[in-house]
Amino acid sequence: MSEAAVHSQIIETGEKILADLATKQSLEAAELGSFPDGLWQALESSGFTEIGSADTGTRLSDAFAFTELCGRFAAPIPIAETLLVNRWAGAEPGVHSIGLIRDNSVHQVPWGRTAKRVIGIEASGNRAVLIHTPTVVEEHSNLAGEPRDRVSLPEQPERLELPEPAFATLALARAAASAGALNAIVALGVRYATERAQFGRPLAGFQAIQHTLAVAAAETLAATTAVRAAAQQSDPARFDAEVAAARSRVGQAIRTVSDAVHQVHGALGFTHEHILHHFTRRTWAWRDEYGNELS
Amino acid sequence: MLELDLTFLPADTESLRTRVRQFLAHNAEFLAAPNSDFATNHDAAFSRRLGGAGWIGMTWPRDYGGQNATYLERYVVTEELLAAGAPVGAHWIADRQTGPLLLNYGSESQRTSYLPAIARGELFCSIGMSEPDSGSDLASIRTTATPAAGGYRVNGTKLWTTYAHRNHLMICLVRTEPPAKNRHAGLSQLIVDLRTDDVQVRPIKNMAGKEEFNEVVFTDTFVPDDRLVGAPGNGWDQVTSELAYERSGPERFLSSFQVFTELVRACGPQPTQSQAVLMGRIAAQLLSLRRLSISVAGMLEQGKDVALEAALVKELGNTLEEAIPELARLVLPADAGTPGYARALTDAILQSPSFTLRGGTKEILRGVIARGLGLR
Repeated sequence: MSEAAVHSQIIETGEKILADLATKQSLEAAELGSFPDGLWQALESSGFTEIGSADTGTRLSDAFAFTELCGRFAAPIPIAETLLVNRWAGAEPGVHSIGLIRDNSVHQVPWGRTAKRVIGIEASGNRAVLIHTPTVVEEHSNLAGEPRDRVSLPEQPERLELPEPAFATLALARAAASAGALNAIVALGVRYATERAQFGRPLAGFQAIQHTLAVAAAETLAATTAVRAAAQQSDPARFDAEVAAARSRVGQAIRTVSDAVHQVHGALGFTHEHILHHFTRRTWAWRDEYGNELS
Repeated sequence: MLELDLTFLPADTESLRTRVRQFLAHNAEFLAAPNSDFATNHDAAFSRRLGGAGWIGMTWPRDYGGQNATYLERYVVTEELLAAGAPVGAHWIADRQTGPLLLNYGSESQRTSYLPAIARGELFCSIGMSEPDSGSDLASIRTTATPAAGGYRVNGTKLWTTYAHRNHLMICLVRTEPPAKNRHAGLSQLIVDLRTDDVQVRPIKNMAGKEEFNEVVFTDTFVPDDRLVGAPGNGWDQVTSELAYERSGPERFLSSFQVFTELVRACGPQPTQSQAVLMGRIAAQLLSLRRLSISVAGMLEQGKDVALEAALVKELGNTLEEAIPELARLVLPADAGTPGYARALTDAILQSPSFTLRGGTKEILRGVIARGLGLR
């Protein structure tokens, strides 16, 4: 199968599973601490948790594309981490995760409490260690309510050689997920603007609303383009710079797009009941994980 | 929401890029422009040299003076010319849109008499769309062309016609039938010879102190039949096809590029933190726009309709080229940089109101994007 065909098959099949199982209900349950087992099993049994691993016929760029797709559904799972652990330490079933080594712990580990294996990396990217059946020291979550646990670092952990720079790869994974979320946010804005009427006509009939959403869509396209260009960058010498550019571009778009679409939704988008915040809060959390627009 | 298939420049375009850079180095005496604005520097001698190198009309068939090159190769040439601040104003419109218009809709005799001369860099064209009472609302134009023996009599006024006082031809949008219920019907395009046809051209000085655009007045001006482009009444479709070529190129985000390059040069290898942050932000936006613009060139190469994508590039690009001088002045005031930086910055600030007007206003573009989103 050609690369393009592999790519589009991943997107199409993955989209169906995510649409069925990454529901509002599962998002809320995950925020209360219960892992979406059904969604995970569906993805795992179809091979989606090994995209980018050796002997799967897929590449790292496919892993970024699937991470972007999961972002479009705000899927409450550590997908990028699992894909990268399987790529870097060999594919195994189950949930795997990654965090940053600091003061003899591994911090900010998504779903550390559920993970079978955790890779700890240093911010400088020089050292990576593999931890089997990790011990959670503290349970935390980010501002999107996603688990970000602290895991203890064994005294003599297994060292790991990584084929790509870990920090930049994770930074791009967050940008890819954010690009997916931005696309979902704009789609929500467009749908609401066509459904909601004020002054006797749909919001979409007002030029001010049309232009607000047009700017949000343009920003989203620019951000998505930057992410995909970095994901397809085959020259390792240019990878860091492309990732930095993608992070910067996505970070700039997040402010504009989330402002625009929250404004279009009015007070409804500020409620817990509405789905919008599951996406916007994630973009606000992800933009500060593995660097930000400035560093 | 909006999808765009990414195109990457093929590796073999790098040798072309090297040749363009060599050409520019050999012709350095022409590179006196303060900035990278495609419209502000008209130099017939430079255009002739560029034509001699085969880089005007390069995507056209060889029979009409072209090189059969791809849109991606054209992208490389235009990007290098703009980045270097080359004076491309004389041939830009003819190369970008008049040529493709004549290739798509012109008669065989129009193609053979105009295209080779355009490609040699000897024949320059202007756009004849706007009028005193018709800007964004192009379908409301009132210039009329009424049948006369062997041709048409044209009456009316065209406005903001860039370089009408220095170019040879104007592609003039006229009403050949009175306005009807379908306001896009009854429009046609005529080739007006600005040198020999009986028209009055009056330059209008712009706020930057330059005489670039004009008012062009037609009073019973005779234009022969054989200078009608395409079918009578087909003008609206032809004009909108031109706009796609007009909106997606690197000229839509590089107008103030020299401000950025001079800023990077002036800040040197150890910029302050605020300078580094700002230069990084601008670079990130430029990279993403370049990817978009190359991808639209890839779509043009595949013969796809790019109207929506081109509007997106122009919206994003104009916002950036307007923002660059405004951000730059905050981290490096004009008088703290090199003379080249000061000149580029001043020029960009004075030119910037035109960026979001020419080739479709910001408001029109956002309307196009909103339609693409299904909002209207």
